[in-house]
Amino acid sequence: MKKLKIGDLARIRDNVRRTSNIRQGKSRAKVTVHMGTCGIAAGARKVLDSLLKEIEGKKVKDVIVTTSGCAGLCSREPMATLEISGEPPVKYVDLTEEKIKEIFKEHVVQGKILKKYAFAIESKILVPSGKEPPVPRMMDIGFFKHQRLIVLKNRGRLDPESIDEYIGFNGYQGLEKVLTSFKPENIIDEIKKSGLRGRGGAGFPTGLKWELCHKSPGEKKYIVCNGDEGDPGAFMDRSVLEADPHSVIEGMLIGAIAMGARKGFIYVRSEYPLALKRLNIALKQAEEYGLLGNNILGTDINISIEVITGAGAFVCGEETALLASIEGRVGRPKPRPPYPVEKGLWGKPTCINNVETWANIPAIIDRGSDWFSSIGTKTSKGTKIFSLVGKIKNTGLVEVPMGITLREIIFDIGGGLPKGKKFKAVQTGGPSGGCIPEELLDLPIDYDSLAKAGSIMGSGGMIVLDNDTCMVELARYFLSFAVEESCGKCTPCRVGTRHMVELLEKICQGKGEEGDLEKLEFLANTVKSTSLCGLGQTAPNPVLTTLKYFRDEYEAHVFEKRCPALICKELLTYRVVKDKCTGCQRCVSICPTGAITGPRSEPHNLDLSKCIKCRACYEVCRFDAIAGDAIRIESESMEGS
Amino acid sequence: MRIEIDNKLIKVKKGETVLDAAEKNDIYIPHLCSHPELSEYGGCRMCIVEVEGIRGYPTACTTVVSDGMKIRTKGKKVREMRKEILQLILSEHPAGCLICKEDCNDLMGSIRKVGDVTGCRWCPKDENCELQKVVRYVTVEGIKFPVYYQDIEVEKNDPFFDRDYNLCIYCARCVRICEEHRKSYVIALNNRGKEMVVGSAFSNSHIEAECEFCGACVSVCPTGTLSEKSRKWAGTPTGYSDSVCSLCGLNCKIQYVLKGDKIIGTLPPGDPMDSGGDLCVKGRFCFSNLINSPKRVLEPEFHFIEGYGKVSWKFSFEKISEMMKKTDGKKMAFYLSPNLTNEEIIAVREFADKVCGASYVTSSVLTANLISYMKFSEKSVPVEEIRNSDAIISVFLRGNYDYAPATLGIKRAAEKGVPLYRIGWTGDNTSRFSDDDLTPAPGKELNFFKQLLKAVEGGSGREKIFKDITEVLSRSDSTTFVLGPGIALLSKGREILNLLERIFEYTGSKFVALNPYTNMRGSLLFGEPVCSEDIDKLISENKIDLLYIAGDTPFERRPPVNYVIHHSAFPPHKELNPDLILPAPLPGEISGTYVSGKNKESSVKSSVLIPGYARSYPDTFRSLAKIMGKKEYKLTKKDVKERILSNSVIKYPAIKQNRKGEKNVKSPDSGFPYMLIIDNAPHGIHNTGLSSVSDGLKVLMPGNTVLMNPDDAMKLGMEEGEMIIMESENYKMEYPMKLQKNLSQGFVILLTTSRFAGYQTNPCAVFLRRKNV
Repeated sequence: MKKLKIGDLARIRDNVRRTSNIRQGKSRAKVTVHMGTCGIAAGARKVLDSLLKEIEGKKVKDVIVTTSGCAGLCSREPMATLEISGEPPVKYVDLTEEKIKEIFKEHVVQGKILKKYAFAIESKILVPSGKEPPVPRMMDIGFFKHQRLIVLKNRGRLDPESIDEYIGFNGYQGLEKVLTSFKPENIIDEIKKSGLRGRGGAGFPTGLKWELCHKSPGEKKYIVCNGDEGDPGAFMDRSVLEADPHSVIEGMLIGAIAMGARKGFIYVRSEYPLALKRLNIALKQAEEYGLLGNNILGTDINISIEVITGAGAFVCGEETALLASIEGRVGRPKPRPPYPVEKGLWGKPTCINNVETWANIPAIIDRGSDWFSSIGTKTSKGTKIFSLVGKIKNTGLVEVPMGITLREIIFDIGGGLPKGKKFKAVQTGGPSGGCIPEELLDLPIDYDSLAKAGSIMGSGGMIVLDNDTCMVELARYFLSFAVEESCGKCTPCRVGTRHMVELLEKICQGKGEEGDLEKLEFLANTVKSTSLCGLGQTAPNPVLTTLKYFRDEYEAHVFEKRCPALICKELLTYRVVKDKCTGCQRCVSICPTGAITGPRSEPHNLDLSKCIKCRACYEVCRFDAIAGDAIRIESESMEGS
Repeated sequence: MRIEIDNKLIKVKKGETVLDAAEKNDIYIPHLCSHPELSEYGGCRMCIVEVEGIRGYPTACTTVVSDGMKIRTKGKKVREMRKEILQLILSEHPAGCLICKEDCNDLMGSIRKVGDVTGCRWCPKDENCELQKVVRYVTVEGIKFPVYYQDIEVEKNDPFFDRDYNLCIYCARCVRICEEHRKSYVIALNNRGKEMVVGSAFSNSHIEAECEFCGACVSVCPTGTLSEKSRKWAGTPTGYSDSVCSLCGLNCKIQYVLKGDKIIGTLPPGDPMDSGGDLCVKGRFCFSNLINSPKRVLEPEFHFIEGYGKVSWKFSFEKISEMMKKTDGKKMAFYLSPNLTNEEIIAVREFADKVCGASYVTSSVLTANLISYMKFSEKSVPVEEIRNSDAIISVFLRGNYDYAPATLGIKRAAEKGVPLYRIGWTGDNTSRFSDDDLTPAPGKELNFFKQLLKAVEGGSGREKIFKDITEVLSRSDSTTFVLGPGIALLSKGREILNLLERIFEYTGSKFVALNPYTNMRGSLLFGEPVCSEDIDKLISENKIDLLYIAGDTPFERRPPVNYVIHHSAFPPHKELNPDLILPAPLPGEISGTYVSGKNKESSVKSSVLIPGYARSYPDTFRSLAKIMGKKEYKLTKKDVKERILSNSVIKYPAIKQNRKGEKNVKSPDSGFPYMLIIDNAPHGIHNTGLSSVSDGLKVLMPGNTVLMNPDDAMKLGMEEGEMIIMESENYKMEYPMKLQKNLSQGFVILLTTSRFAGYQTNPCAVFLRRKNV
């Protein structure tokens, strides 16, 4: 492969546009199967195989089949986008091997949109009034309507294993721009002006960090991309690396040029095999094109990037621990200052940014800081990707402008909670974040407002909780994660979190005593204030926010020995409602301990001394059409009883 | 720069931490993990303070001062949180006694000797514990958290110190001193979070992990987690006394740890509570084993017809007087131990001269080779110079458990990137830093150095193995060669030294010649001895009638002489069968001086009483002279001092040029396929080997053992501990075998405390086989 020079990119871009655009090309249709890890897990590979077989069987020659990363709406995977020459693309969801065959027959061969499987149409054209569009337009669907794509702009539309496609969608245009018309200081200025803040969680201004690293004395400097995404329920870094790895590489190249670094590392956890594979392919392609390595695009700049596979320790997402891990040492954080920009990898100035931060860079350079800073709030600019999970209809990745309210994300984009469930709280920022209650739903989200509410932006995990969630138990769950993942170096985190979990367990078991909540609160504040690194400093957040917003629930556990959400087993009793019980005996046969007895057609008895609260009878009765709800789970106040 | 701590204005230096500044100004900030010799860590979080303009609660140990900084160490919030953190620490550490208000001293008895520490009163570190100090400052009334007792089995299988990780507070001082200061990397923090524990890789024993047993980790441990076996239950020391180590020629500074009238341990100089130090295992752990050994001679004993019997000094003096009167001075030989102090040597020499008119004073180890080595080492630079080198080459150095200042110098320099080359047959603790290990072919060691000289001088350059080393030598401005004393033990030692001298001259290199004998220079200076091989010859010709042995080990069997007097702290070899055994003190019981180097003197301090009925040499000889009616011997302390000051040039004993009997070293062949290296450098003092008085050292450096490469052992179908028969052309003997990983294949090392391994040369080609049981 001949190495490219400045200017060659435009040629490739034109070429790609010509050949991949089916309007100008020879093909009649193009099917893109969305194959992120989420899609593959849902069965996208089978769908793809089935489609290919069908095409082969029918000896159709004029259909292009490609793959891409995740298209965002993970709950409806497997998904595919079908585009017939001259018509807007149509998205099909919840696919199976059979459905894709049917779609192929109807839509590709006969040109008729298969309405029963189609989800949305990517049309911007207004449908004449009175005439209903065949399928809802994407811009009319809440999930897509409120999103603003910068980092995820290429999701679902490009093949992550093809550098040409990336270039076709204006890829490496930012790099070309800085090489031709920017001095390092200009790049830093541009980033500073854009107002971009670190997307890893703490929100440190990226431009300032770059400037500090740039000014830090020393010849040798490093840049690092933090892709050790460890928060349970967060997967935006994975998705970006899987769907658009070149955007991260381009961002890093621009950063390296700005800061004078000649070596970069991308640290990705080994649990992301697909991301690692696509990243390595992307790096190889970039190197072959002369976009990476020696004499980038024919200039005298040499930059190399190496992928480091993390072994799955949560604490390695903390920057000093991550750097230690790259150096080959045990991932344990070091006190800061000195910050990595002064003394990082092997004692040299090192700039470490998150995947999402790096992926923002090309767009800022390409489209300018003014454009970027026009999006967002006063203190937080641009967009943020959230992974929307939990008790919500549309789970998936959403990229929204800063300043959007929680309500918009959860109800307009996420489609609200599944039927019959009531919103209780949303947990943001993963195990280091906090729970935000209903009364703060209209909070415009940015770094500062979330911090004020006691939570953090974190990497952008967003877990929606309904009324069936016990907040005490939830805090216990998140904290026990911190206990397992604490590196053990500093006392508050190693021992303090452990004692907090123990206290929470005690409370969940109904053994809480007067004073326990104060004890918990003081300990949580101490751990927060005195821990060495971010892990310990944020680990108490789930406890502190739930104590702040749901204290009554804690008090119910401690003083009334009652779990209002009916979750904490030790505080529950099961009861057969005599009036409702039809005596169908289904619960009798499912009860593993023989606690329920009674002759057919007569209300059953439940022997509490035998009941192990396994919930089996409740589930079987609840979904029984005839009996329904004859078994009740209750948590009564035991005060005075 | 000035900063303000608790409203007190203090001057600080740039780069200091807040904790440093506070400590220097007597402001106490409680801390546990921070240590002056170690890198900042910030783990315990006890030293949190408030700093104006800095968010949160930074730790004093990691916060660097800046001009005008205002620090508050005693704010209410800080005090409350410290108390909370301390309680967290105590919930992981047996702490009952720290909060108990009962007085149990009357009830204690010997209860400390239980195996598990469950509270301070059961802890070897009680009253010396930094955690106790912090608890007293912070004042903890109770522990509000449940206790996590880990119930880890106490690790007692390695020598010298026990490890009870139930007491560990995870300050990582031990790990850091092992890495940062000793460059040993034996231990690390294994696992994560609540399962974190200090240990070696793969939970190997410390011996397997190649621990040097320097004890630095024990010294810096703030709790009772690491404790010296030998004084685990000795309680709080009553004092410390500065002295020097008497166990090799480096004469490192040490301090004796005193408990009443006993030396219960030794420590590096500095704060006895936490100085890591640069000692080796011998200086750190073995001296107290030695001085308190139950094997010591405490009373004079005379060989009556029916056997040895205890006698009085008066009786002994009369007997000596009798023997000496019957013997011509020209037929007397005085043997000096090379470990005696200058004062003791002068006392013996004066007595030999003025009372006996004795013709011969010698030291058994003073062979022609050693005389050459000592003469050669006149130009040796001090061991501290190693760290200023830009290239280091070690020659026959095996420093696993010895010469710590030298190996530390090498390791520290090499880690910074100074090239290190090792010449020898076996690896040691410096191997991991080595750029290349050059192994002379068996029996060709002389040739090896000839080739090296040739290569250095820019000769043919045929020898590829010398390419790198000569390149480094030509590039370097200040190369230091570090010579192990093993050279002096080789048959071709003198010839090798001559070649080395030419290499040094040609390259302008410095060298450090290590010396295993505490005071060899003093012996040469004040004892004016002759070559011991000459006396051996005289004895074999029946020209000697009386031997007076002052701490030395000249013979294992009684030679054909009329009288043998053995005068030492330790009993003689069984078959020496002396007529009289006299007890003598050890350093620490007497004061004295050593000649440690050119114009360098070290003093050993008398810190405890001489045990039993032992008497010092000067004292003994004064009384003896009196009884023998020789008034010429009036050696006062002042006389001795004057003599020491007046002497400075060593008169080296003549080496007889007649060395016809000397055999050439033969290379291994099919009949004798292995190469035996005899290592009888003494690891001891006077006539006793340290491994015979220290159970710990016996494990590390057993006496009379053959070391062997595991692959070689496998070829012979042998396992560790089995007996191996080692046969040369002229000698055959069996020894227990021990595996040594880093020994080159084809070589075996015989560790022996005896000079009398009968193999004709060193090294010597031998045939090996497993002894059939």
